[in-house]
Amino acid sequence: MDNTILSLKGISKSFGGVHALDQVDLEVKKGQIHCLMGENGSGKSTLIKIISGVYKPDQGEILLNGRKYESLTPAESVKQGVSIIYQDFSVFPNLTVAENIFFGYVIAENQKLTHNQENIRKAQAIAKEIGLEADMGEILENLSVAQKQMVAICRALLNNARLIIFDEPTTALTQKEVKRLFSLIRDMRKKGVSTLFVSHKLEEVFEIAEEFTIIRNGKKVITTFAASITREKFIYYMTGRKLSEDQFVCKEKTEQVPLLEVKGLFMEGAYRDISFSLYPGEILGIVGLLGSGRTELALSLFGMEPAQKGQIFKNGKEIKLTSVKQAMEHHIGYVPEDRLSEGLFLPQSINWNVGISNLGMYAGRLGRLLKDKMRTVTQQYVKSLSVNTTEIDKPANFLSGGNQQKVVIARWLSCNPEIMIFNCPTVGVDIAAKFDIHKILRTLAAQKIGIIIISDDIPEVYANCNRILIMQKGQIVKELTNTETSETELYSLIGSEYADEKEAAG
Amino acid sequence: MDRVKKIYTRNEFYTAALILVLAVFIELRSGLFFTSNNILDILRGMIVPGMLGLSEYIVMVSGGCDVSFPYSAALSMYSTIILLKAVNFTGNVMIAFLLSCLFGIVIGMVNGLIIMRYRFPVLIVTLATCSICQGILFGILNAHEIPVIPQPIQNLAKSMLIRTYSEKAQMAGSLPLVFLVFFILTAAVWFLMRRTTIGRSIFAVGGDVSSAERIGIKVNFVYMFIYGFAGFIAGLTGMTRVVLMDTCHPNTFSGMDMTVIAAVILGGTKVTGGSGSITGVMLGTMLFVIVNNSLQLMGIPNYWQKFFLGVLIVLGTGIAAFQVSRKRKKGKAG
Amino acid sequence: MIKQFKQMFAAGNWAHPARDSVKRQLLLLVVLFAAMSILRPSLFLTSSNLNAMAYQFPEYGLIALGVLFAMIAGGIDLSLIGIANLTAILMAKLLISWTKEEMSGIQNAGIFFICFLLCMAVGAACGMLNGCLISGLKIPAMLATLGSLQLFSGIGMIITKGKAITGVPETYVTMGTGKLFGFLPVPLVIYIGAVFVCHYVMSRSTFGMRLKLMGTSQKAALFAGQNNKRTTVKAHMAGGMLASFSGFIMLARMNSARPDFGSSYTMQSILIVVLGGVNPAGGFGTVKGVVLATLILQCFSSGLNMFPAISPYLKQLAWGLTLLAVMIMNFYSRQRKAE
Repeated sequence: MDNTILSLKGISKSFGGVHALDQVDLEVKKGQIHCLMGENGSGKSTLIKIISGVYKPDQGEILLNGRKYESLTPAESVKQGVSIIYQDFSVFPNLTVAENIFFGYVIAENQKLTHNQENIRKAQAIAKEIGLEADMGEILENLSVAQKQMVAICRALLNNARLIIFDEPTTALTQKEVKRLFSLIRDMRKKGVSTLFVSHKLEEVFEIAEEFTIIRNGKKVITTFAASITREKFIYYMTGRKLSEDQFVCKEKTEQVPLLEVKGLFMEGAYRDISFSLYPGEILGIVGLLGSGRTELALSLFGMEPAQKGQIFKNGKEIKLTSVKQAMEHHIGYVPEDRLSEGLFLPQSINWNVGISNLGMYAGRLGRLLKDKMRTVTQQYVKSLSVNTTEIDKPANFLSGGNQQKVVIARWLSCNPEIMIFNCPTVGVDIAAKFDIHKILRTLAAQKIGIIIISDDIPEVYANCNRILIMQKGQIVKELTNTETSETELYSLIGSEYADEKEAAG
Repeated sequence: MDRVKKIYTRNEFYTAALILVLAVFIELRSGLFFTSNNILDILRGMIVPGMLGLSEYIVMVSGGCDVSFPYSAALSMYSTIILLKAVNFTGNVMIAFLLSCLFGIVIGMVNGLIIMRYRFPVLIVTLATCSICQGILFGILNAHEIPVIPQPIQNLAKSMLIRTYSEKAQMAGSLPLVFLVFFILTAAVWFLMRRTTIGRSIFAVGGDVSSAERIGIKVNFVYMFIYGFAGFIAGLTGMTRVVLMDTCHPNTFSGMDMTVIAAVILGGTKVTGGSGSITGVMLGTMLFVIVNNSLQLMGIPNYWQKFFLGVLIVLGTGIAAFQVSRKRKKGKAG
Repeated sequence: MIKQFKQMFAAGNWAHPARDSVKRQLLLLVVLFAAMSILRPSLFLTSSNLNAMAYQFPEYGLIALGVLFAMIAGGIDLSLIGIANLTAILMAKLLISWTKEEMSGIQNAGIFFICFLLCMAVGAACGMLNGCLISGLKIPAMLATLGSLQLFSGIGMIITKGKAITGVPETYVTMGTGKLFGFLPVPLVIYIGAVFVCHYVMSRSTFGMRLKLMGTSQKAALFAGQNNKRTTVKAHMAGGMLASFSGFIMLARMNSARPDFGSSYTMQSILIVVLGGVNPAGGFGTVKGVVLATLILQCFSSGLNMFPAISPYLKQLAWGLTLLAVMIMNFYSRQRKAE
């Protein structure tokens, strides 16, 4: 077909006997915005790598611009106008903006000398075209995340990209920046540049995609238009199961004194006038967009970045949380946002990952490590949280995202926490595991542990928190219970632009 | 105004400031710093560490740390000298340089091949090759000092670029002709690293290797080039040293690895790779030479040198680390 | 996903081959020992040779153990030989000033003991300085210890004015070069003691676990409530103390102390540690591996000495080649494992 820029027919690929992709079809038309959706392990990264020529399919056809390619190489793929913008943007923080933009071009054109005025002019022109406001001579690492992404887009455009593939582009962007990115993508569409968007966020699909394809376990499940899908159908296609959760209901409050109470917390440049209470058995949600101060608040409650002013009370008594050690002494646990670099020691064993925060309990005389005790406790928690393994000596990087998160939770549970703070507890976790973790949270709440979920995942917070605090630009602007609000209202309260879209979609 | 502010954040500024402070201090104490012979002394003293510093700079920008250059330089120069002596060489002195560079390139390629193929930590690979060079030098070639070097080299050793006489110090000063080699090399490396694709690729590789591969840079070739070129410089420096000392001593570079690395780092090159400037390398080298020379000028006994060197390194790296942490804190708020 | 892969490649793949690498090393040691014994039975397998070996390797073996701590912490320590020399110099000076000819045995022993403690404390203090530079000022370990090496050697030079200190009391020398129970050289006893303590600390104590986890990821350690500063300082203090013991042994053997002795020990110890299967990125490594690597190097070294035709400098050539060979072998064995 003439107006198709990319056509994949019957693509199959196996690694060591395991099917990563099985007869997948995908078509992206010229000037179209197409979204590719799938869970971790569904095969979407493999598919991308095949499109870019890094992998060769075992079976199937690749057609770029109507031409069939038997063995596509990365260089050829780029030449045909396919550009991939990875999650880390593949930029050089130590080079200038201009260099980052034209380097790929310089390599492709085999230029021996860089820094000629022509290259810089070209870079400047493209930057202007898409609205990137940055000094061409600025070192890239001084730019914001959104600007870095735009530099990556500039680079793609300078390479005459006709199809730009984005791998999870909105993870590190603020709401405003996401809006800009989407309007940029729409502009590019007008110029005939197609976009293939890899994402797992349904809201984004609704907002920007014209067509989308869902793959699961290496097979294409469906290709359809954004208008014709509901949330339930979407979950069904992504996971193959009908999963749903009821709203969390908190049992009647019997305690008079809150488990945790904060008054007037303040940190310059992050948040101010933060006051709230947490009762045992509650799951409190603190929602806000990136930049609302929610992560700084989370870190303050854990003692990692203490608040500069304000008071904190636990069970009525005032406490100081000026170090992580103090937080742990007060039985506060924290499951961080980035489990790969903050939560886990990936190459180390699951046993050690769980035991590390409780070494006081496993210390014998002369600093001896009570290995058996630690193993027993670890086994116990691994079992009770249904972590998908029995070998606790295996390194943590062998586990899936959801199970990894469970390991971090196990670690804090073994410290007998009274309060648990979760920062984006299910980011990057498959839907089934997501619901699993939500069940765990509810169980913990039933055990009278006070739970705080800090997140920007509105559906998650709406279903699992009985009380919700809205944070905007460093302040708590509203407090609600989950029964008296709706997802739509929550979106609008945090300042999300999705609210209007959702209302229109119904 | 922004530009001025930027200068204050750069490491080179502090190194330059330190040099100025030292210069003034020494001038005040001995009155002999800003004399022509002293300035020429400093320049001459910078030749060898400066050239080696350039080699180390290129490697460091790519993210590695090379410790093999002292003995790869020694091996190159020694091999050349014994070869030339064996044939009773009387030809053009350039051939001596060429040969030494060739040897250097070969040794450098060994580094390059291993690092390119296996991507081992550079520090450890070069530790091994340094050992190998020493082994070849003293174990196989039975190296010892060669006081009488081929005539063409001797002639060059006696050729001077500048001759002066300082009334103040009552001393003559001179700058050898071979200084030009240093000068030209510096200009060449500057051009390479700032203006050529291969040079910028070295920065790219030092910034993020996988991104470099993704945009199409032939990283393997870059690694081979880096270490081949570093070897070239090592060989060049070896022969330059012979000219400067008018003798060939295989242990002449012993211990220079640490001082050169320290000088390069003091000049602002990050050991993690991806950034650094030629100006910085020169400033760092100058600082070291001045400290060395001036200790003598001020009558401070030789054995305080190491101590001062240590203080310098700790101070220099401490300031750099402090700046980095301040930048990080600034970026966090908001 | 990509980040995960990177991390797995960087550190994870070193974890499991550790066990195989120890087996391989043991095999290499046995083979080497056997080869040397067969080729030069009259020279190698003699008690005098085994004796000589047992006197030599503890010196750099202790330093290698110090490097082990630093590397597992995710860094490196280049200053240990400087600490060793400095403590040797201080020990020499103290002994010379405080002991007198007419003192009795008990008095001598007492003074020795006090000097030991003082010098060990200096070693620990030097290590603490390293730890503070690295964890407090956040100076990269390589640079910090490069600088402190110059500092410690420099202080040593200032004290000795560049010369060697001689004239250490006889009793010290005899003690340090003597034999326990008639056949165990004192340096060897010290080394074995150190090995046991290090092994305990590394594999059986909570500190060892903390050290390895911090070496794997400083950030994750902070989020797990660890005090990285304390762990780093402790690790380098351990290195400093081990280096001071090396200094004591060197002083006894050479009957003198110099500020610049053993400059090759730095590189040698890093070689040993890498040969011993320690991942320079941090988080993994065993005392066993380092000990085996030390023994291998000693066998090799002594063995080569028995072939007078082979120049001692060829040792260096051999070490360099061996290091590269071992790393390459590890590389391929890891690849095979991954498949």
